[in-house]
Amino acid sequence: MTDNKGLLFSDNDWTFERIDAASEQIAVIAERELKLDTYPNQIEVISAEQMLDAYASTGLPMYYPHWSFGKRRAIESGQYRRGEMGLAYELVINSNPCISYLMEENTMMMQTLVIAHAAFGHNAFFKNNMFFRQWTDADGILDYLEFAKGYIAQCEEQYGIDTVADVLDAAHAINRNGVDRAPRPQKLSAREEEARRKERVVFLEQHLLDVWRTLPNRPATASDRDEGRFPSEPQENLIYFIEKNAPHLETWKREILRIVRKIAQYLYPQGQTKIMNEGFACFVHYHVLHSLHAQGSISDGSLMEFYASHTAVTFQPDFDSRHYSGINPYALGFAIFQDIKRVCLEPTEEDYRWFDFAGDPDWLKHIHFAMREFRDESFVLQYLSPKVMRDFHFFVLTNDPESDAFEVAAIHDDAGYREVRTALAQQVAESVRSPDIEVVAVNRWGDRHLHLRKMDHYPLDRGEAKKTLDHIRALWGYDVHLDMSPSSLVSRAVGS
Amino acid sequence: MSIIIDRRNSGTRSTANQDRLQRRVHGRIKAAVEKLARSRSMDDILDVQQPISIPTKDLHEPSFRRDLHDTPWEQVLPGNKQYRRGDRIPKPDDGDGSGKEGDAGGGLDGLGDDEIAIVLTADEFLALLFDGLALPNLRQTRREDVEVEKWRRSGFIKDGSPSRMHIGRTMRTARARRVGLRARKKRELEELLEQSLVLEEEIRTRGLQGQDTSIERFRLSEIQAEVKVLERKIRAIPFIDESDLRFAHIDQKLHPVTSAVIFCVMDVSGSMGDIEKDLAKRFFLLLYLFIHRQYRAVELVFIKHHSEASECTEQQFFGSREGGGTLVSPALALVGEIIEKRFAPDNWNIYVAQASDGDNANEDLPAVQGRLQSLLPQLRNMFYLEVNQERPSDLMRIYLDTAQEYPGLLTARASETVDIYPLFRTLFAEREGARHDG
Repeated sequence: MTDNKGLLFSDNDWTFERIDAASEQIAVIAERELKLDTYPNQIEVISAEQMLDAYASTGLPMYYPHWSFGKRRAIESGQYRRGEMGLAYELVINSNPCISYLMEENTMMMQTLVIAHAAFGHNAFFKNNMFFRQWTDADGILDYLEFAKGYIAQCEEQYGIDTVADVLDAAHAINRNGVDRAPRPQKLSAREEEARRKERVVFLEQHLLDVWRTLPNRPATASDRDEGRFPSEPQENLIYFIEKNAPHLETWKREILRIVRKIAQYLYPQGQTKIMNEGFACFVHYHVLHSLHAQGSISDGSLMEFYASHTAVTFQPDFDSRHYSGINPYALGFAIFQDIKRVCLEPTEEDYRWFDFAGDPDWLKHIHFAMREFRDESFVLQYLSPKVMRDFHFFVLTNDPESDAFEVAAIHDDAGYREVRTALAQQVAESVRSPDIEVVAVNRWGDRHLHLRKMDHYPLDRGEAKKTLDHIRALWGYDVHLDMSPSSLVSRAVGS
Repeated sequence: MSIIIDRRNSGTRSTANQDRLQRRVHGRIKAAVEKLARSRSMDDILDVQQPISIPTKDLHEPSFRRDLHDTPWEQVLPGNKQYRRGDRIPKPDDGDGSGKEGDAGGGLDGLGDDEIAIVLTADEFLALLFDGLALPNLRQTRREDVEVEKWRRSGFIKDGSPSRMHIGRTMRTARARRVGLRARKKRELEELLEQSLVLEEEIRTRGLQGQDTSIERFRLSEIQAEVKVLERKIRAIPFIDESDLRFAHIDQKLHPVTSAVIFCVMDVSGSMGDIEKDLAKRFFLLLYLFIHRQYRAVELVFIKHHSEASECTEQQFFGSREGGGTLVSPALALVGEIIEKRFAPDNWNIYVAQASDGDNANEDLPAVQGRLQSLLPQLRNMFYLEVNQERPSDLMRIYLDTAQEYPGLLTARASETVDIYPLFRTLFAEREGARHDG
């Protein structure tokens, strides 16, 4: 190294050598001081155009082509050009090796920050968090995406781009209703997937689905029809249900549904852990950058630049500010993780009342536990402390449509902490949850219509629902009814 | 240990998505392109980096969403300054404030941009601009007119004149035949020779032991006879056989004539003002762009005329304004001369586009008709645009009459710039009838 005094860099231009040197020093800190267990890193430097590409495909390094991604890119590149939107400094993929994209525009200090944040913070989170471990297969995702892209290209060739787009449109419409929320561990491997696909094709071509076996060996009796409802329990995964049970769907269309479902499932934990994931990554970069400074690897000036970026990222505007656009997950997540450390090292009397781990000097153990075992909703419920609520000046506002005023239901005081915390956890959970629509029945012996019911008490946007149902009809092939009445209790009783 | 990769040069991967997006909004893009062509100035049309706006509602992606309007909600907000539990905050007049919650169920659509911009490449733009347009009557002209015959090589044949014999091919075929025929016989020969060696050895040992060898000797003589036959057969395989001969084949193929020339003829006499010229220019440019798409190379010849005609540059063509009366026939005569000198109709697709305000000396009309009669058979199409006239001029009548006989002559009238593109579309609309005629 030619830089002075052991500094990683003295001016702010990045080079591949500097990135390499920085990532090595960060790796040492991450391992020794934070005991992070990470996937091997693959760091890629990309241009702004490429970053926009990556945005358009939900950050995946490879995706089948679809017009909606083109649309997203057009919107975002418009906003970017007009200066309404800045691009992220980095983007990281839950894969093994863990791929991090760094923007070429970043200064060397930013590259250092971003490596600590993404290549070590997010990386460790992906590898260790329970939901990612349960739901995603970092080893298989790149192969699977490749398989999916290849398969869809093949379908486009065989059946036409527009026909394939119709199926994808329909599948995307119920994308958010295409994930299993209860664990059903499955691994994706491209080769097995391809082999299994072929088996399925053969099987499906040879067999009628049992559900639709309408020519029984013996005459159907009344008892057959009363055998029970189908499905026997309401099914929440609409795509899965249609993929397996749609009467006349061609095999390749089922396969496309499967692909969309698999990818949705892979992305599902990211929505569930936004606050934690960003919070943890910020916690890591914050620690790493200070260590780098303490050991003389970065200068005071670089540390100042770091503070500027860090505070910008973790800034929470007040609700009445022009800049307010919801709760900033970076800010909240970082605050909670920092607070866990504080509760361990400098507990107050209040912390002892709230947290049984208060005062335990092994703060790293508790940070790791929090990072591994929770998702946003439970994380907030478990760790949001009165101090953080006070720092954010949280309060709960309720709206009764009948009333002419909003009401403040709770504020950050002794009487309100628990209510604020519960309300926030609820809000976090609801913000990523799609309306709960379930398959309650199929009319097997009559007109084969599919009966859906809304299971939660929130009203649906009817216009949207109508268009979405059109898509479902196209897949199902027969009529589809959606019961929007809020009588969820009745349907559960019938279902069970 | 980290791997570091420079990915910056691996390009963008948005093309496939972009294509599909354009398919999706094809109708809209087309409409937008046509509107551009109608309203903008010619230079702007050529500046095709102009993005086209598409309303995102055309690209709506539905999904099950919550309706947050008029429903009770509860939310946690940061930044409390003075509120206490139980405080009531009057709602703003414009509703229940549910807009704040906004996008809880939405996706990207919540970004609020109601338009996206699509930037077309020059080719995409022109393809859309001319989508569904065809050169009229092109199919009615005889095929041979569009193409010329040329000799070209086309493989090898077994028969031909000695001068075209292909030595290399012939020798290759001969060798293949020799190897093919000889291989089996050689194998048999080797086997026989081996057997005879074994037999000779046996005869020798038996002889030493004093045993009878008559059977073996007989067998040996048989084998030797077979060997002789085989050797003769192998020798008899000819080095070259008539069936080996190969001749280079040449064939007459039709080749399309891929160059075109457009003669732009315009009246520059005093009666043609800037507006008229602008109309003519738009028409010529659209024509040029359109014809350019059909051929590999398109040349332009500009001929201005008042009472005399002369060839000129593009600048002079659109820029000049000269006095004097107007005679059309000299211009047509000049076109004829230039065709004769520089553009043999066998090798060129010739188009003439003429713009005029219809002003012409009456005594010149018969001459115009004569010139048209001699010119038209050599042309693919001739376009006559009459600008700024409330009713067809006498000149126009002559053209209309002639067009009865020569359907390749097309006439149109325009008086405003916005007329030009629709006019162009009607002129070139792909007519089913025209197709069947071909």
